[in-house]
Amino acid sequence: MKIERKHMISILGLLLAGCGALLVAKIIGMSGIKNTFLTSFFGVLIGFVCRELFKKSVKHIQDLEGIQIKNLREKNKKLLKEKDELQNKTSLKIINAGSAAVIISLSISKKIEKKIAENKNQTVVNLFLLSEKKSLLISKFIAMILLMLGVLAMIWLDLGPTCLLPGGILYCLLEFKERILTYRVVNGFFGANAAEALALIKFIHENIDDIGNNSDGGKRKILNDEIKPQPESASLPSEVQHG
Amino acid sequence: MADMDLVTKRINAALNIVLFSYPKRTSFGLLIGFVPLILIHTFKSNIEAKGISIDWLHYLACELIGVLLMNLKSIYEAFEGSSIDEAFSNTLKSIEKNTTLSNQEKRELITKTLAAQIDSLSTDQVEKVQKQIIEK
Repeated sequence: MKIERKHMISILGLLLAGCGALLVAKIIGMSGIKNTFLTSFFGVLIGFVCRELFKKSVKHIQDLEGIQIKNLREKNKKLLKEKDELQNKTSLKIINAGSAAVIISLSISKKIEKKIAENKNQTVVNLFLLSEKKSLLISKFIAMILLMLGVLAMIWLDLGPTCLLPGGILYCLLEFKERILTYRVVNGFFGANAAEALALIKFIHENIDDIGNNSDGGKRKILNDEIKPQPESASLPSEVQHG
Repeated sequence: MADMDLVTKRINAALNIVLFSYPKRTSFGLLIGFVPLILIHTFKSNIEAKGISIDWLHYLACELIGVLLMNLKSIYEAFEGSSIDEAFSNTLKSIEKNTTLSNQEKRELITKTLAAQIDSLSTDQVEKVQKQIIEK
């Protein structure tokens, strides 16, 4: 039962609108105004505003993500173009200016190649992490709504502070999961066991259109390189080692 | 020093179990489960008048039912599985269970298997697109 993103955003927006409407209606009621029409009107109005604001902020986040991906692609294209131009210039300078110019051009070309390699580090695992982070962000938002509903239930229905537990525990678990996942990906641990490799292949299967190839036409790197701690002996000076 | 790969792997696996591998579905489940919880609490006196006592266990059951409802697809998938997943998981498990391979070798093999899987999926997709174009 996969809920589409836009539907989920609408549901969340409606929930938020409901919460906002209830809260405003309660505040108006507490201020002593007994007019039902006025209370309902302002409640619905504020709820509607809350919903629109939420939808706009979600759209803003989506736009930002889109811009980031676009920038990355443009950067890659630009770097490749610069590299090609430099290579052309290099061949011209061989004829015109001699070996000195060639050396300078080659060193710049190497720097650009290094930059391209850095951009290639946007691995499949990193994309998986990005997708998971997005999913966890939505889940955390739901946990916040749950927490908010818990507070409202505690105030109005005398449910007791235990009703805050589902939202609170869920939020903590989600935060912890995000941190653990980020740690594993950053250190190159992620994807090297059966369960995680399966999760990765599922992700690849779902998003094959986006991650089939790298932006420069080559195959995208799959796993991050494992960061290994330096052995103590390597940091010692050679004299000590001999001694 | 503790093997952080192993420690974080275990924690991640435990979190996956708690969150049913799908945090979004589970969160929604808890949110949905909160609705009957509120309803039960609101009509608590009416229900108790019929001789049914309501305690925290009922509230917990509401949340659990919500989570289970939202994870029905995950449960179905766990039983059913897909041919690609199964073939792939068999390969991965045979690599992991192999005692003659070192950890580094296992890692390399898993990476190669993943790369092969990506290649095969890309080819499949191209074939699908080709078929679609021919059919049209």
